[in-house]
Amino acid sequence: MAGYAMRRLKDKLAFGLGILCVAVAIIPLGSILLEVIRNGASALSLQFLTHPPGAIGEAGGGVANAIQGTVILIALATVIGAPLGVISGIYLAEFGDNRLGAAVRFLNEVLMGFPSIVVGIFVYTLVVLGMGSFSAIAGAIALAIIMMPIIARTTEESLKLVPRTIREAAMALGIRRWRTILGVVVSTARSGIVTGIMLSIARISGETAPLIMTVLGSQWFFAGLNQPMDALPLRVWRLALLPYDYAHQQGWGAALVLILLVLVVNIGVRFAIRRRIRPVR
Amino acid sequence: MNTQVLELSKREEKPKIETDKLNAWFGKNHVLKDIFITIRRNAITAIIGPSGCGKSTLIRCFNRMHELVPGARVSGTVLLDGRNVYDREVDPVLVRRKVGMVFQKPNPFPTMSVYDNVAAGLRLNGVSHRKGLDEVVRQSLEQAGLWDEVKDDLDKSGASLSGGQQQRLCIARTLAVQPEVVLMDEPCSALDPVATAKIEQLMIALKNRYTVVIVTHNMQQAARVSDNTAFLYLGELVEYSETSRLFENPSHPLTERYITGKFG
Amino acid sequence: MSQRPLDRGLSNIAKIVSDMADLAVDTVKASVIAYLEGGDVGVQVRAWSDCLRSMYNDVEEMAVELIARYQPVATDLRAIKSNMKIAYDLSRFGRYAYDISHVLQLLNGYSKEMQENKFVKEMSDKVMSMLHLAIEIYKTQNFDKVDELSQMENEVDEMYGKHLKSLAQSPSKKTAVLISDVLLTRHLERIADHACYIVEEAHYMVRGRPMYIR
Repeated sequence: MAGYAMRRLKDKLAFGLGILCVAVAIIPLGSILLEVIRNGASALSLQFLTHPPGAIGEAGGGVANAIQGTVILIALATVIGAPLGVISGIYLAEFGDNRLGAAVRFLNEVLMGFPSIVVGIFVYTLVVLGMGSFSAIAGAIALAIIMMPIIARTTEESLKLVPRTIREAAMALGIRRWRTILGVVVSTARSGIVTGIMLSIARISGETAPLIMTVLGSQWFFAGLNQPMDALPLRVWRLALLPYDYAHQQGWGAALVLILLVLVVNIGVRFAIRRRIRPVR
Repeated sequence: MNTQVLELSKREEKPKIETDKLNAWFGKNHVLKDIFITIRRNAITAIIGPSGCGKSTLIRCFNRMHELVPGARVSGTVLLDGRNVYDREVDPVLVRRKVGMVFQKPNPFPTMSVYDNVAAGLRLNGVSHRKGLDEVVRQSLEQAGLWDEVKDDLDKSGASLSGGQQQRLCIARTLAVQPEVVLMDEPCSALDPVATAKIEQLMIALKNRYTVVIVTHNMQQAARVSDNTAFLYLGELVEYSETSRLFENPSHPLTERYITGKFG
Repeated sequence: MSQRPLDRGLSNIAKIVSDMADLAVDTVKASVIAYLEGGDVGVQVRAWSDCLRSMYNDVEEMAVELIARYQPVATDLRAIKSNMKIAYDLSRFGRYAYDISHVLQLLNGYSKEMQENKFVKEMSDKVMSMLHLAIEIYKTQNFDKVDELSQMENEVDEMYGKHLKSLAQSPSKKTAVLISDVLLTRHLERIADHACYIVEEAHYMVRGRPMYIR
């Protein structure tokens, strides 16, 4: 029985080690969350959430324009990046089983790994300098460039998960190839595709570096697509650099709002996934 | 091994499907060799043979599904009512609307309801007139013997039906497109005996309106439902004749060995 | 090729039928000899006939069980069907043998005259050899000698016809002798017929096509 007792001991040790690792992994997340909540909760107020910042040096004001800016950026970026990403994903899944597909897939991977500040510089050079000003649209383009490869990848994976038998059934009904893809395959994979889009939204909500070079930031509400605009990550950064206490407190508040925003998006994703898992006989 | 041609004895009618020197490859793999077979209309023809002998490939040549596999190739002719489906001017998609197929594992579209599943073939082919659609869906489900079981809840998910019901749903979906031929690739192998019996009954009812070709590895099933039986071995048509004759007194020793279970 | 579960059943049936064939021949022989040379074999023949009957029932039961369990086709199915019919024909021999010995018993006193009946000797010799030939063809499954059998069958038919006519024209003085003569030759003729049936069934079993000897 000695062998068995030994194995049980090893088993327990391994299990304990696993728990330890999980704890170590969660500690940073937990501590950040706690820190943000501790410091930022006091800044939250109705005024904070509905007013733009006041003059520099004066207490009061809020981050309403930053919230608005973040929402606008996310919406625009999604409108630009999601269709491009989904279509690329469809191409890769349905027609990408060749050298060209492999090349595109590789480029996709590369793009996914680009530092976001590089994307920012690229869009700065192309759009900001080209247009002559920092602008919301430039920010949206930068974020879209970051989103696109992620969406392409998740779309491709979701489509690949659709079993071959479904495609065969559709083809056997005499449905044309493109209608099979759009009407049946994409439809079957739609929750996976949507999940991918929402995950990429969660990712870009917090991007700061590209925004610095494209949107610049602003004290006022949205003024036009070709004008600079504020966003939460930018505001956090700006507030943190000011030498005033009220600013720091507001910075924590803005960070809290941002985290809450990302949390809401992620919970939305979880909810969307759970909906899908119904008992299938 | 010479192929044997079914003598379309007393009846002088033209066959529904007729192949001539039909060959098929998967890459370099020569899967069907010089097949010459005639499929009688409004009858059930069974194709039997050991695994890998080319039975599925044969029927996939009838509805031009074989060529969808990368590296697959076909040569020879397949005449459907006298017209070669492999003619250059023939659109394979149109062939597939005339020659439907039901697969081994029931494969209803998972995100669609029962109604949408049956209507899918029509909707995605451009038909969307609501009134007409309702009628077609009802008729197809009736022909497939499923109407009574689903009529009260056509909106429920196709995937929530039992295996046998799902297969009948797939049959209804195929019938909705109003084909002339229904191909079935081992339609009952994933089903329990009760569901199998229902589908076999269905097949016999279907042959009045359609020409049915079924691939099966279950010889008793071939004996039960089919009018004619073809025995395929290693890509060649070894024997083809009326079912009762083939099972009582097969001409070819290979056929004898296979159907008595001495190999395969 | 490995043994199928069906094979055991098939060989059991074949064995019983083979045994029945031997027993049937012995039974008929015994009754004919008793008729020609005297001797009381009634009880013996009766027992053998019952045995044949029971063996036939066994074959029938086994056959039905095999069909229900294994859904046999082609050669297997034909073997089962033919063996069932052959077993029936063989059991009939037992019955005829019993009838022959029964005639002998019923009309006992006239055996002497019957024994002197040359015709009966001739016909029974011929029928016995037909029986032997038929069983041989069944066992060897070699149909080369079918023509010979067919020939003999025709001869027996002819003999029987002629005999009946001659009896009608000049019947024996004793009615008992007449009756027993007619009955006996009748049974012999039937035995000859069934011998042919057996070969026809054997042919169907092996070749899958029917054959008609007469």
